[in-house]
Amino acid sequence: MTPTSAASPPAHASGWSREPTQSPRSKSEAGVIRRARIGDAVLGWACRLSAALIALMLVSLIAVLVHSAWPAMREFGVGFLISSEWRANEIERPVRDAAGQLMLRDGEAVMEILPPAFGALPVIWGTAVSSFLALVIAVPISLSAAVFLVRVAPRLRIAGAASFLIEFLAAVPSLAFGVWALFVLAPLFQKYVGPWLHRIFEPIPGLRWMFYESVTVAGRTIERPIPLTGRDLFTGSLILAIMILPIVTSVSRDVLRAVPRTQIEGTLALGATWWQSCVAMLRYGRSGLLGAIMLGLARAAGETMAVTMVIGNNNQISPSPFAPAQTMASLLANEFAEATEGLHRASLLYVALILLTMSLMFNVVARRLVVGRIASSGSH
Amino acid sequence: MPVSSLMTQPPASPKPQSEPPVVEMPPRKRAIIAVGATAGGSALAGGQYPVIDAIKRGETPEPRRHESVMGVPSVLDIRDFQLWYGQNKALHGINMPIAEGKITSIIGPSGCGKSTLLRSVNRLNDLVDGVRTAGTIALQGEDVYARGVDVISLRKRLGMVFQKPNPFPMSIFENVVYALRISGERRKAVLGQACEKALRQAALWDEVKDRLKGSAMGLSGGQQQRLCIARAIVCEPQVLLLDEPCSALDPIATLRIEELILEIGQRYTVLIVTHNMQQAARVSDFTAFMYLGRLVEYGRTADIFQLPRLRETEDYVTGRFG
Repeated sequence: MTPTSAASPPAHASGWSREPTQSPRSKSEAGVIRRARIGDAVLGWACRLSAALIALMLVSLIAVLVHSAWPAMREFGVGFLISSEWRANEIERPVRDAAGQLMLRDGEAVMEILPPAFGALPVIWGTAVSSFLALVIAVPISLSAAVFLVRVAPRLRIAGAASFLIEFLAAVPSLAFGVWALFVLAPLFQKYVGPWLHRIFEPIPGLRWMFYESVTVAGRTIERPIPLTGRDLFTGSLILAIMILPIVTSVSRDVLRAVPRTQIEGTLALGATWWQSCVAMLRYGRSGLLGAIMLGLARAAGETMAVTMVIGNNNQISPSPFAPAQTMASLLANEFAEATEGLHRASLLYVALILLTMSLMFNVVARRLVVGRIASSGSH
Repeated sequence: MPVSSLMTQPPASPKPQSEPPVVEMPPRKRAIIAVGATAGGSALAGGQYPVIDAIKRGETPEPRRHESVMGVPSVLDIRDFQLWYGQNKALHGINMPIAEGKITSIIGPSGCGKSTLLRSVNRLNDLVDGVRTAGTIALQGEDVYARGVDVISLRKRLGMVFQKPNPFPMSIFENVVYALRISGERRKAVLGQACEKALRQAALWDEVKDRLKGSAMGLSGGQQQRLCIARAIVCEPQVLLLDEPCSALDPIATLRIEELILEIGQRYTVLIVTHNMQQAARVSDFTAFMYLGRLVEYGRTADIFQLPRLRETEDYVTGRFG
């Protein structure tokens, strides 16, 4: 197998390059063609094998995940998705009655033992909210940038340079973004932006939940201000927004570029202003743009390193964007190395499976929307 | 020389004898060979097309404008208009008045600048990088290229229909009233009336009145083009610009659009660019023949097609050249 495949491609290649110019005349020519045929077959099968390998990898990835997560799936079932407990080790704690009083027996507090329990709701919540906030921040900027790249930059002759810079952002390693967020964004938020937002929004009635949290301490519920650390859901969302900007912008740019010229000229000829014609252009590409946003969403949901560094890593559900949180990816990054106990490990893999399923779904929908749009506008 | 009637000219031409070997070829190809040979300096035909030859040498000969077209009241007056795409000069000193309330067609081979001229009227060429112009195009006495002209309101006074139907991806109703919407019109009654009126004028009302809320993309090509005409006339434009409106349509749809153009011509001034000579002959009152960015001959359609003053025009409209 190996010697054949190593020798055949050159024969195959020369066969191709000769074919248009020369017709088979001599015996050596016939030999070349025969060898080229063998080369064709070998190369064809090599390609098929490679393609199958990729599909096989995805299938085996899912199979291994399901297999490893199986103990947790059997233990928690679908309830895993809506449970918010996450205890890697069993806890012993005093039992309290409804009023919050310690239950005593023989002058000693009655203790209960809570077994390890796992639920994915906090990380699903963290992932959903951080991705959503990231989209809210990134999409307006991305769409504006895409309009700029399509409608303005070509006239200024900077379309190439601007596109390069935006795509370069996509090539920056995740860790670099994380370090920057940790040492620049987080302190900035802790010292300036956080207190400033606090001052502006706190007096507004109905926004108290943003800055205060209720905690139960020793059976009593108290309200206390959320400490501003700069490492919270909001900072995590911001870094996510920066990281999904390039993909959303460049896909939107391709979608908008595929809008037929006659559509834009049609609106202008009817007296549309520049802004109105841009709106018409966005409307024409709306399903493709939705696909671009979905791609960004898939990216945001799966992003790990930078988020782990700034999101605070607290496995809780808090309505406030200024509280530390946890995403599926950051949970895995944080705990996987320490997860030695079987159920803990299986639960983490269950989370990974959920993440994989979600990302696959986002990607499938997004590809459909984008590819469908660009193909159909090409045929117009 | 060629100012006399065409009837006297064909016998004087040496053409039939000079090129029998290529007679079997399609007229277009043959003409290109003939013209090319002349321009290349061969003695063929000895200046068979003196005006075209002069244009090919880069000159701008005085066009033959018939008296019949110069006397009529004009809504649009193109005066010594020139246009450059970067270094390339696409239009050379065009002088032509467009008669008010009539249908004027512009014909000429591909690349003669007819679409460029049309798109200059509503300044759609502004979008193209590196376009410069000189001269004036006066819409009811006001130069559209004057400093301080509001291009948006200028375009609202002109309707335009493109080669390919370009309905917007919204409902039929919203397509028709788009021009009103972007001007801020919100009253439902006004929009509804305008929509019905425009669709009736575009001969589309009966076909779509039950599905005004349906997508415009679901209409046939011919219906889409009539929708685009309705959309262009909803604001009652002073001039309707048609840029080869039938070039993407089948013969039956083309026929319907031509009937529609004739009907719309009763109400509006229409300027139509076409590469289809029969269409120009069927629908227009006046015809202009352009070649390589120059106006060559301009007169009543009947005169251009039956009594052209230039040999070039006659051969072009009969399909022997171009």
